[in-house]
Amino acid sequence: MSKCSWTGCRMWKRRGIELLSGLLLLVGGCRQPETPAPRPAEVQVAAAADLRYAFEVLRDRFEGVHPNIRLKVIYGSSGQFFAQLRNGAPYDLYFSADADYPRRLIAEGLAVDSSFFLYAIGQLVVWVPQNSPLALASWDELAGSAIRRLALANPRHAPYGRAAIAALRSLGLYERLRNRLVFGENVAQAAQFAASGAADAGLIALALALAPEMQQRGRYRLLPPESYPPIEQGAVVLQQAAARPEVWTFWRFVQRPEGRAVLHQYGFALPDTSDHFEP
Amino acid sequence: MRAELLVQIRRRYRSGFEVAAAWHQSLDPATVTVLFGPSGSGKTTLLRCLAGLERPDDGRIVLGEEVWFDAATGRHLPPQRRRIGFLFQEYALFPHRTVAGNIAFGLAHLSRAERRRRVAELLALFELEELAERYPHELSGGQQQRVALARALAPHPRLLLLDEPLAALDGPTRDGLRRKLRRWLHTLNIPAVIVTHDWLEASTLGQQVIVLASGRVLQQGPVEEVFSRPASTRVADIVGVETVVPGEVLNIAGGLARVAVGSATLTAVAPSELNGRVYVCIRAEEVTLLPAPPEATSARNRLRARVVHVEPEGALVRVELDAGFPLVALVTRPSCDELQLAPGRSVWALIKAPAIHLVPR
Amino acid sequence: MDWTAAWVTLRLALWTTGLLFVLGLPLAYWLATTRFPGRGLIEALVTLPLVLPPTVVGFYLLVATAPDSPIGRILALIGIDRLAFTFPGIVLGSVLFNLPFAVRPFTAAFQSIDRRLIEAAWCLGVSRWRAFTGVMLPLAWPGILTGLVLTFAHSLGEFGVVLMVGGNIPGVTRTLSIAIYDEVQALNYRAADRMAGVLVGLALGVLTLVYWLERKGKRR
Repeated sequence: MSKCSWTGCRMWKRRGIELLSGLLLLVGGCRQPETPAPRPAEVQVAAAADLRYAFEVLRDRFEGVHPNIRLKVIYGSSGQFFAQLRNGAPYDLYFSADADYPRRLIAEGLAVDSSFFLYAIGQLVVWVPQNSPLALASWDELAGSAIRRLALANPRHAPYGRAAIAALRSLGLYERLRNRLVFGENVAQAAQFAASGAADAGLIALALALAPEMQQRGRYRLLPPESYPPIEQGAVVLQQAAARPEVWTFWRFVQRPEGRAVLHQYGFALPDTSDHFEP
Repeated sequence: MRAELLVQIRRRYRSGFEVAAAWHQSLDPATVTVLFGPSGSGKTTLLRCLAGLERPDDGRIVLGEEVWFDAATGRHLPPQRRRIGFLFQEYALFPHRTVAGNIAFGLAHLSRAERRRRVAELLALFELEELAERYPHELSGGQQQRVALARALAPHPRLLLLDEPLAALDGPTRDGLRRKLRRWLHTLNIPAVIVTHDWLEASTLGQQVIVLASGRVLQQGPVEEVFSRPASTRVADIVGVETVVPGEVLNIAGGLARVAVGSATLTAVAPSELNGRVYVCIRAEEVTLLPAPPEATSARNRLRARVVHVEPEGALVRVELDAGFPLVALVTRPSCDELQLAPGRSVWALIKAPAIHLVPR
Repeated sequence: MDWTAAWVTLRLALWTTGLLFVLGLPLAYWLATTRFPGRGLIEALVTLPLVLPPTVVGFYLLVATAPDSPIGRILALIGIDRLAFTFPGIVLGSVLFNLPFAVRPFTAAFQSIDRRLIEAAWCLGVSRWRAFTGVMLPLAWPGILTGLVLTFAHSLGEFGVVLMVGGNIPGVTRTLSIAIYDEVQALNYRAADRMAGVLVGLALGVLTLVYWLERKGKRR
């Protein structure tokens, strides 16, 4: 503000500001009457980190079929969403990376009982950068000297992390590798550790390994599904959104063949079928 | 080899401002050179070059046999090796050390006992004994100045550099310290270079004066000479000659010149070559005022004048008169009261011929 | 209560503060006294971590020191496998991120000292080093202490950088703030609460101690 050389000037400057703010408030308060054209309905989805690539495509397809519904997807760790939803976060649908969190929401009365369904079965892979010496022919290679750091999601609260630990145990690798483990906050961060080369390999979601950036940078191999408990990924509609028809429209879309096809294509096995992904 | 300080400095700043000066002064007996001029004249730059805090672009600085700076050889001795004492304009006392601690700061090379002895010596000389454990912020301006001096003198410097030593002090303190400083310089027999813009300081403390303006030396020489015989009106202006008026030389006879100034005529001692047009310079303290015309006096110039303005200046009074030309006189307060000097009063002004200086126009 | 994590946190904060004291002081002194024309750029670089999210700093550190990066290869030559997921790695991240918290107060402290005090010391025959330690440092000390305290307190809570580069390894890179976050993620709120309390207590204790010491010093 320019210097005021006399007190009167300062007073007028202050008055001026008050006047201006008053005017703005007045103008802002006067709204135009609502235009008769309907605004698109918006659906907010909380989705687990491994769903990123699948859901981008899913959204495009869905919005193509339902042009008056806008889908807004937020990605993060399932545990974090769970905590947020218990504290009133405004999501309409919750796609978790496990089945436990959604069930607990139902138990606490925050989600609609009948809306629960298993939408995908997560699949675990080992991913290594292109220039890794590993051929991934046998699992014992993982315990070799080339792997000084192995990244995975934090088993305390990430479903893929728990699965990874289980897989390592059942493959007899856990004891040899336990001091070389590095934990990402979620499976996406574990993938990032591996992709950046900071870790020598990563145990990550197939859905992430299929992402174009990951495909360019390295290669993967599916871990035997029997070596870890199935990563059942469940979804629910939140109680606060239950009354809105557009929410249920998307809920149905995911379970329909079009929706399932996308999920299948992007690295998930589908429940109710023996349709496991073949590399 | 004479014990002398030889100085030739030229320093140019990136802004284009250039300072140049050259002089020499005796080290034994110690002499004091005054760098005199208004602010911005470059005098502090010269002092800092002497100290080694700034590096001249050209010249030489030699103290006795030791070359401190030589542009030709590229030699430049840092301040630590010159054994100087520098008094900064605002003293630059170390706020985190006591008075004793400040004085002892340059004495780290001495043993503890020797250091204590030297500090005690200086505390006594500068009358600072009771203040030894005080901190600088607890001292008055005059006390701080004494501490700064003591600190600068503690390591037995070979050259003392003082930057406006009395400028930060109030009138009475300044007068007292001026006299003491003169005495100390004389007693300690240390050569010094003093920067000041106060003519009283310069004439009291210095033997040699160098008048500077805008980085150039206008005049240099013994103090009395420069002050009573300024080489130009600019110098006269700077040294503080209060009356400078244009005049015309009417004739010169017997070494005396008659000069028409305004509506008056003055008799002055004339230098050899002088054409018609001159400036007439008179120091205010050389003007004597009388209530009535004197009967007999050696002063050649007796002028009738009317008081125009009276301005007190400390213990003195500055009196502006109209003597046919504007004339300034400096009298004591008692005299002012005795003569009842007030605007409009008529008095007589006496000026001796040698006190009128003519500068060619 | 994860005492191992508390110990890692304490060590991280001490190392960060110590390194920034040793490295940051000369840098700050140079910034405060130099007339080098590129100085503005250096100052901007030093301030950069203040405006960058810590995750960005951590991310770039991760990528820049990966084993197959140029820096990573140089490190391998001197026997350092990698910096990510190691304690030195998070110390490096913490030092980079806390640079402005240390260097800016240091620089301000040095700049606030009247240059003529240093010149006075020189004229008294005192060497440049002794002038620095005998005049500059004691007078700049309050500002330096502020920088150190700020850095220590700030690095106690270091999260973003450690999250990106640490890999959450217990006893090595799992700091208290990471552990708290973990417990929250696992819905273990009570444990998170306890650890948060310890962290706050630790920070408060250190700050109080430092300010008490400083006041004592002033009274001298």
